[in-house]
Amino acid sequence: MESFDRIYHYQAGGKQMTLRPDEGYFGIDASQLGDMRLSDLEKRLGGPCQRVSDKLLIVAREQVDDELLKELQGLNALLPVFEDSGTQIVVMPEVRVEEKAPPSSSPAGLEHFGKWLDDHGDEVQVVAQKPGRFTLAPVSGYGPDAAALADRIATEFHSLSASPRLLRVVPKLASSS
Amino acid sequence: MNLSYKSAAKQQSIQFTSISNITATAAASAARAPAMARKASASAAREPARPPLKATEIHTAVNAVKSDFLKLHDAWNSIHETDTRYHLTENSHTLLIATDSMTVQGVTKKHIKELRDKLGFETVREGRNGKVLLRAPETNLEALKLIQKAINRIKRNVGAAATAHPHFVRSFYRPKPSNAGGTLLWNHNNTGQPGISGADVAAQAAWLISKGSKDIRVAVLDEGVDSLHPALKTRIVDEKDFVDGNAHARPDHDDAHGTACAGIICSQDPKYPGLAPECSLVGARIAKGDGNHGWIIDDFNTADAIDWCWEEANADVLSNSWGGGPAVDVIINAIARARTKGRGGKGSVVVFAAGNTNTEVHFPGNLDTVLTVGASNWFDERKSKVSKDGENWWGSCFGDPLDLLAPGVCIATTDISGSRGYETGNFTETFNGTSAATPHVAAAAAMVLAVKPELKVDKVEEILKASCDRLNANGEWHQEYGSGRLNIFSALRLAMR
Repeated sequence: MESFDRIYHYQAGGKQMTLRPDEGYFGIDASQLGDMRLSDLEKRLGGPCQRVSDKLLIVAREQVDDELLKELQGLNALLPVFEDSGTQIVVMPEVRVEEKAPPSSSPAGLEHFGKWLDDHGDEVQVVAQKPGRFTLAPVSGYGPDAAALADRIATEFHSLSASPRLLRVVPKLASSS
Repeated sequence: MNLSYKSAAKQQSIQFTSISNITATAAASAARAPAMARKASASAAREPARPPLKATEIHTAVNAVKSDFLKLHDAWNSIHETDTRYHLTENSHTLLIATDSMTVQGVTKKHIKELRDKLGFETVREGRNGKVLLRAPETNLEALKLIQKAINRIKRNVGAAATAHPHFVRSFYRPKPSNAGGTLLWNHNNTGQPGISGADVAAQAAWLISKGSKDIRVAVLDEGVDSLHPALKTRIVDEKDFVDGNAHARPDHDDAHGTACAGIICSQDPKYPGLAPECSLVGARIAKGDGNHGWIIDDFNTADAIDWCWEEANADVLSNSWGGGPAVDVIINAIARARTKGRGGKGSVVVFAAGNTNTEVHFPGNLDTVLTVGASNWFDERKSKVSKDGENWWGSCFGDPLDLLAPGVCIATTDISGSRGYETGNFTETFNGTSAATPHVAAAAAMVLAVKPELKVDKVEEILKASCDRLNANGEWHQEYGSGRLNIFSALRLAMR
């Protein structure tokens, strides 16, 4: 289970951020289930699971028996869940690269980055591009790889910011009775 | 029937009554209510943490637990076919139901075998740390008598090293939150009954100067805004859904949070008026409920929403009652763009909630590019777990990033129209949190811009902070209060100088 308990880093606000795994939970990418239907998966999980999107579930690790664990790993459907001060986080396989705000006076940063992308096409795909911004995906399709990719880009290109796409489950800020 | 056992080194003795007596007992409890209230009051003087129940509350409590008890009895009876016996504790806070089971711990297998052989007990299950749940062979009153016998036997044969006590089912009376503490719309005008007179945002005085302007747009980024709500629909000028891509930004299910925030800003209802009812409203749906008191937020969609608000919806003010988790540059950058490029370069005012965990301000409220708002109560205290409003389950976050406080306890505002949402009607009177405080400041920023639209964002922020009513004794900024509690009237006067 080592890969699900690994710590990842990325950068934000000029600082290194740490993603620490929530060791009680897995994420399941339902788009990787192949022939397994989501309803069958939920039956096998045998208990409540949280749907954070149409294709993503968060489940307690104890709900996944050994047999199901092997199956899901074989399908590459398992994802780590991270935790930060009560917020659960799943990293989606996308990175957004843009100029740091306020934008630098020189657009050279993005031009150089375009060349870097050309040289790393075997690792990184360009999903979308618009003025001042790239949206990328790791070729692996594995969410946490996006965090590592973002960290690498932010380290190499100081005038650019690179953010992994995080899906958060946060407590609401209205404290009802 | 009286059951005696030892718990936490103290001898306990509890009288249990048959369910058939419950109606009589309830009436007797109500009759004893004044005496019980006095006793509870004396008890509370020793233990101030639990407020004493008033006589009417005791009567209500008895009836409340009676209803729960009867449900429990029905459930219990169908399984155990026993006459359920109950005990209502003296202050009516807890109802105990005696079952036909008991728990032992620190007892050897030999002693358990003795209970089986001599008294006919059977093991129901073994728990952690040596706990064993045993069931008596009899039911009803006979079960309780056997349990008492078993307790006495364990006490005699094993001594103080073992614990043995009846296995109860408990029903607790949950007092309602301290809605009784604040009067309706105390946040607009607080007469000090209760609380401190003037511990409010001076809305009524502010309205003599301005109620906002339709040319000033306030965006609420949240789990949706009910744009068909009778008290909001005339103010909506734009909306967009960044979660499901709907043609509107209306919430799903009971996701009422955004509607409540919007109502604080610009509700048109005369009984539940917003602070800036003449401003225009923009709804941006960035989250949806997870079905478990939480939100699901996608960072990229949220950043896109922030950009849409300042760039396409032309929002002058962005009100954000959300946050938590780690910082990310996409959101930091989008906020920075709103603040530098919004309003044609004068900068949109971006307001964020500090958080409710009674700890350091969380992201994005901890950015210095936003106005960070904590919550105050009708005593002009920072809302904490021990503040006088009595809501001891939450506290307003604090620390260096905190800019100011605004009312955030029991705020009256709009609820999703119809039966969905917090209440079954169109309004709620108990909206809580730094979520509630934040739209107060957003409305204030909008009202300042209504009287002085040429102001740049940093000047608006400066005015709102400089005009606060000081809560720190020396008048200076403090990590628990920021610059103090929002005063909209003073802010408008300062803006007009």
